[in-house]
Amino acid sequence: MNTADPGPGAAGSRPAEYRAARLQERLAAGPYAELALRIEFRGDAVLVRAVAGSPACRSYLLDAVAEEFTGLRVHTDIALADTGVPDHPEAVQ
Amino acid sequence: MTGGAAADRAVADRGVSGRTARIAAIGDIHLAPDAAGRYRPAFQRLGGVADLLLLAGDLTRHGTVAEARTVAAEVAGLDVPVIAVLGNHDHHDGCPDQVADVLREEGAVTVLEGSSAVVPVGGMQVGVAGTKGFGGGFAGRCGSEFGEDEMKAFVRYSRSLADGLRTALAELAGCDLRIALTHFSPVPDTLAGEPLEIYPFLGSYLLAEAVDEGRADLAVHGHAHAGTEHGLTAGGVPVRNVAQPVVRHAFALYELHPAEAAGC
Ligand SMILES: [Fe+2]
Ligand SMILES: [Fe+2]
Repeated sequence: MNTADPGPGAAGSRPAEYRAARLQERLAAGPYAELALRIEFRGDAVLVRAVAGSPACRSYLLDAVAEEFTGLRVHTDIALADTGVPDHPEAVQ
Repeated sequence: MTGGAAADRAVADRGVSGRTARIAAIGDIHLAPDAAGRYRPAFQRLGGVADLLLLAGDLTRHGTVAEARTVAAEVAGLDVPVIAVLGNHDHHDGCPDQVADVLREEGAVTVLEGSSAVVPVGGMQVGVAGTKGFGGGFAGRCGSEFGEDEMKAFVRYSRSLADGLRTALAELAGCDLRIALTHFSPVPDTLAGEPLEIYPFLGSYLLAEAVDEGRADLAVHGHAHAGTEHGLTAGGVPVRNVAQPVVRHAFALYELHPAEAAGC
């Protein structure tokens, strides 16, 4: 990144990198203690991935992401944790 | 233990065919009262598919007593013994001992920290040694006991927990099968998928050293939500990351076979 291109979200606000760090701190301190959110910058878009423990947690994360990255192009992939029984064991050698 | 007695116990023990131990394991379920019951339907089916359930830490979100109660209710009265270590989240509220007590008293969970437990399975003795473990990094790329007091304390803490695992595994020397249960990872293999920059916060090679010295048959850990399931220590011990987002089920299932006849 050079000085002519301040990066996504820099216009009139904090650079996106700092916004990402602030989001992660906010989520860690929040009701779901979420520490495993993956945030990546691809060109002018932000990619956010996580696995949420419940539908309520998922919508909380989506809201927080949308709020923190207002004005940026955001792609999210926040899956719900699957709590089914595995259909077969692994034979560990 | 004689062969005859072992055979009799194999018949007497529930749900076991031959000399196989069926281990269910899950970490990072991060429960709180609003998620109560999410794992219960799957856990209630454990009796049919496993001989014991291992919980690899981060059972709660913030380590509060209320969250520990949710976890205890989730595993209380299951058909299989439940053995756990705590994770960093279970320490967050500053009362890990209370969290462990609630799990023991209300959930009948055996909570390990530098200690071990032995479960009879099909005439075998299956030993589990556990510690939360801590970070510090992996051989050649790790922190050392040097410089500021804070850095020394960080590395010393990690070393003392790994020493606890070593001592606990030594207690299991005579068991047919030995499992090392931690929250932090003993190897970098199972962290693949996590950013390289945070590896030192995800595990420590000191744990792997203890696993190898204690001749464990399997090492199970959690903590690395974006990691991968399979790894191996330098000594050849299989490692499994059972963090819930990695396992993508209520638990992972592993079948273990003892290499040769032994007894505790
Ligand atoms: Fe976790
Ligand atoms: Fe953790």
